[in-house]
Amino acid sequence: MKLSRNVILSLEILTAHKLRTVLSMIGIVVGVGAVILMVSAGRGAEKQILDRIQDMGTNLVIVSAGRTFIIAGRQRQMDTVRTLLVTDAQAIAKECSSVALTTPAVSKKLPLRWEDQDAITNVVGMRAEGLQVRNFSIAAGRAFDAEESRAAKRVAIVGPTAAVNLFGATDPVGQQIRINKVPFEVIGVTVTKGMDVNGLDQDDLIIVPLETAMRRLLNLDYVHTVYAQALSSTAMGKAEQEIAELLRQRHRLDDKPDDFTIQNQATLLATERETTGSMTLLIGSVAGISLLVGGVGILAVMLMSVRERTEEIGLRRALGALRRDIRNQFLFESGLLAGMGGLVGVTSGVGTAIAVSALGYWPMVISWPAAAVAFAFSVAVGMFFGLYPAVRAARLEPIESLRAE
Amino acid sequence: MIQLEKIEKTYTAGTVQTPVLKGISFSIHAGEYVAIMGASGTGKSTLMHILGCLDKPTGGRYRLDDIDMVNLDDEALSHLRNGKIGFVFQQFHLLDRATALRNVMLPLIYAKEYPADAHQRAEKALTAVGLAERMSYKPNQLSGGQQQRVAIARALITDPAILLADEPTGNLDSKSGTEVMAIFQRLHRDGRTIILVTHDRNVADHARRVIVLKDGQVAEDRLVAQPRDAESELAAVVDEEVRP
Repeated sequence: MKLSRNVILSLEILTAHKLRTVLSMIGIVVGVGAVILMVSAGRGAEKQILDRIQDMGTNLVIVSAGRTFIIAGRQRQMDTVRTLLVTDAQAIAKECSSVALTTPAVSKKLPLRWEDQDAITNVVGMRAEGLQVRNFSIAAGRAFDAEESRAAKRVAIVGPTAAVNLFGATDPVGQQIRINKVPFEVIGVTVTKGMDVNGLDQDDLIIVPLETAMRRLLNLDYVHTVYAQALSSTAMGKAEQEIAELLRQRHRLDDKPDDFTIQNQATLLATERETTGSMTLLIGSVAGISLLVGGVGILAVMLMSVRERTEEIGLRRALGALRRDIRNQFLFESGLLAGMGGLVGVTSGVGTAIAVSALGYWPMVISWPAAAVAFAFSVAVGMFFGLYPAVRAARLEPIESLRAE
Repeated sequence: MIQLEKIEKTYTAGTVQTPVLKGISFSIHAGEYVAIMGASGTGKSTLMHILGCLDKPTGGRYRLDDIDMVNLDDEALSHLRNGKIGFVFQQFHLLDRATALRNVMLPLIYAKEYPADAHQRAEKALTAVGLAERMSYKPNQLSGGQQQRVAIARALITDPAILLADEPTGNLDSKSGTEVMAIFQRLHRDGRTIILVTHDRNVADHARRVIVLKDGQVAEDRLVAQPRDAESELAAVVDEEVRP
């Protein structure tokens, strides 16, 4: 028998038992839907983290002064180290062949005042090219240039959050403010970046020229951080190595441990991936188990179906059906049942993912390969659990089956 | 067409052996219309199952269309049933979820070659039993007589060597039963080989030859001198209905 000859009949029989067909499909629908939803959520979270990490700057290598430790999942700096200098940043840009640009940077939380409004925010001092290295774009007004930086001009670029906190609805550009009592002119506003990897608001800051920050605000002769941009994403490892060697040499460390910490997006990404990856795996396996439970539902329905259709099986055998024809027919039907459930599951899973994403509850990235795998798996589950009922159907003797009423 | 030689069938349950058929021999030639008669418990159903290749004898030889079925395996018997035998059952055995047309086409699903004109053949078979208007009806929308006619169309669609009917009128009222008998007589006139299994003398008397079973053996094998004519019986019934 070619199965195709029997397809219409199988469909007629399945659609005739609507309620039962729907009930047996529910487990598969939920299983497949959940798998797709979970994978989409996991990938969405991963993409969000990836975006945030990339927001920090393209091909960014971060050199921090002093050794840092991971404590309770957060990065902490243990002590104040005064050895990282502006000249180190210049040397890195000049001597490390894998590095395109660098900017030294300092930062500190300082009080702000505009008219009678007060706020406290993170003041970051960096060079003009730092805006490029750190991926800051100007939404309104303008950026400062290298000349203003060198001359330690009192100009500031505010982040959107800091701007709202201080100015409310007023346009910040052109306003006079005081940072730690030093007067500044606001010349620009940055484009919104959102939260960083640790959930901190990257828009709650004020950027001023490095020299201004070091001389007029903080009175420092060393920097906290050097941001370096590697030539390409593949050159990041090399850049890190070159920077480490150069700094050890310049700081004359010999056999002493590093007085700096180098991080890049790849290492940040790997840590984050690990967390979200194991989460996705966990929830994914729960969803997979519900798929298996759906398979048990199919097993029950197919056993019931074989029992109820004993007479039909006897008739088909009398009319010339081989045992394997009967087996294949029931296998096909359970596969079809699971496949329909899988299709509904894919549709509802993808639909829910799109809806959740559109409503802004959670970022979702729909994975079509995962959807295809979930669908194929549902058919496989249907066939697997359909095998036993199908074999039982094929074992029935035609005479006894025909007598069954 | 059919040769039975000393067919025996013994059922074994544990150590208890129950012989049901005790050496049955007869031949049926192409184009014959034979009724196999007997009270219940005479081995009539067992014989029918063997004739229909649904069961194998425990002794003797059965040749159908020059094929010795005793040595065939399960798969070969299935092919034999599909190609050589058309079944008509007492309980009709139609798939109640499928239309009359799909029911009639069912045996073709299991044919070695699926005919390209399967649809037309099924339509022709249904037209031949007077159901041209009811092809897309499901069994529960048809009367008992109509359902049995669908079953006859299904039995004939593979153009089998023999038509094997097991109490075909058992579940029908007398008028529908007579209609079915009329169809059988027409098929017989067209040269079809028919074996009719029944306990009812009135039904058996429509055939040309009657084989009576008794206690697992052939008790009587005779030609019917004057077979009853279903057509004229039907006409009489109709007359009665017309007359006040």
